[in-house]
Amino acid sequence: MTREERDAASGAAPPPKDGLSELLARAHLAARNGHGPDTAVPPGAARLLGLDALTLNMLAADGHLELLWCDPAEGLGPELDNLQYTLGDGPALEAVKQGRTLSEPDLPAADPARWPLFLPAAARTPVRALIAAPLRLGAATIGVLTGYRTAPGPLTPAQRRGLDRVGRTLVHLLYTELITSADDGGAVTGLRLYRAEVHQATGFLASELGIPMGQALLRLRAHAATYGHPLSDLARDLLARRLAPDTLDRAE
Amino acid sequence: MSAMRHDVLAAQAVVDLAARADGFDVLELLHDLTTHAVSLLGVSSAGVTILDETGQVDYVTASDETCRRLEEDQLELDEGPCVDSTRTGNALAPVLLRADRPSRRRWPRFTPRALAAGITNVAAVPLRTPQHPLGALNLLSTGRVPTREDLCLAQVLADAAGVCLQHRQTLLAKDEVICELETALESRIVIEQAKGVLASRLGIDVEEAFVRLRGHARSRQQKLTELAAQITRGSVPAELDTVS
Repeated sequence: MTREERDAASGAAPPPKDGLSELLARAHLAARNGHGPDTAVPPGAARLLGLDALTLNMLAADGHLELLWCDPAEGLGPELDNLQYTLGDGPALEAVKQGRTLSEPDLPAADPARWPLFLPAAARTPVRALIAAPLRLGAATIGVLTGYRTAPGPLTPAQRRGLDRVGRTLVHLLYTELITSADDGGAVTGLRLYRAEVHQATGFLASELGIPMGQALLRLRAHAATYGHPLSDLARDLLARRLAPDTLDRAE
Repeated sequence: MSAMRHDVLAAQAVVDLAARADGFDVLELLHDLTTHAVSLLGVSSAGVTILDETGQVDYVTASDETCRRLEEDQLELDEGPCVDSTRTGNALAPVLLRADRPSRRRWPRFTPRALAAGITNVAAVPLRTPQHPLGALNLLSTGRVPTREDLCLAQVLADAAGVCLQHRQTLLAKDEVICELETALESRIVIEQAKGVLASRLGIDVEEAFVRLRGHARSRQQKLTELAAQITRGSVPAELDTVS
């Protein structure tokens, strides 16, 4: 996907002219009014930081990362994040594990051993540089903000400070969003599980094959990794019954 | 002006109270506060009471057993210097306790008990965080009356302990927030999984599965997340498990 196509897909064209401070101020205001990260942070945050994509993952209790926000909403960000989720390898996971910001300003030149599964997969996308910054609440890491760029090179100090500010705003939004709308009733919030269909397919497969949820998810990931299919496509195929569940009922 | 030995000890006491490792023991901190107060202020004993938001006792401690009993007496009688200082959030200047004329006593029931324990003078400073009153530090003396400077130092010591308690409250609150965040996220994931389970069992699509899930939860006033969790554990309510 070219940058223009990605922009068209996300409906986000140029960044707001009023800059990062204005964007973040609006986000805080929107959080108070009950909007989630999806609507509260206007499109364009990535571009303001000189990046092509930004993704927000929250760390779940079982240690996996859950994609909750992307800017732009589609394209490179979700694509690279889904790769890391499928493969269980990559900068976002490592930043969370280490609890510190990691960057790789020139991916083709990176040590292949750093992310042995993620790097070869990422090489088939336009990404050339990335940065992953853990999001903290007190001493605890609660998630990670990852930035991707199709041009190599490090972020400037100002861009890194900007990334920190976006991260702090997103923590605030997550907190506001999740705490105020923790109750159910099917209330759809601005917070969005980007991998909703993967969890649906997990439940579907677990029921079809009579296996636990955790194992169903592992089989989905293994199948996607083995055949190089995007996990979300695999999930949709299963749910639409275009793919027989017992295809995944054998050792991979 | 050169630092006197007393100044150095006071500074050390403040650092000792304010800078404690995460997970420190609250009662130990409060007991140390009373010990520092006695050694630096020349009072015979010191006690601390901390109340929760509802006015119930969270912690009581004192530099000695006599003082601890007087702290508890105040709570039982609902009167005394500690009670006053906790309620008002203000320091209480030294009050001379007299045996005569009970009707003119500030604390008619507390006073005889204090006098019986040999205490002739009481003062108190509030124990607080920057946001909230927590309780008070009581100073009890048998002879010497604390000076204005003594009370100032007592307030500094109490505030040092308050900083430490504030930090602890923040940490506890953050743990709770993280727990709530994780639970909220998990609930959303479980709802998606339950949609998939129902879609599989009933041969319907996930949108239809969600409509049925929500309908079932609403008609039984059950929480959607609870119903979803039940389904993902393999127990699907019979009414939901039939194609209609």
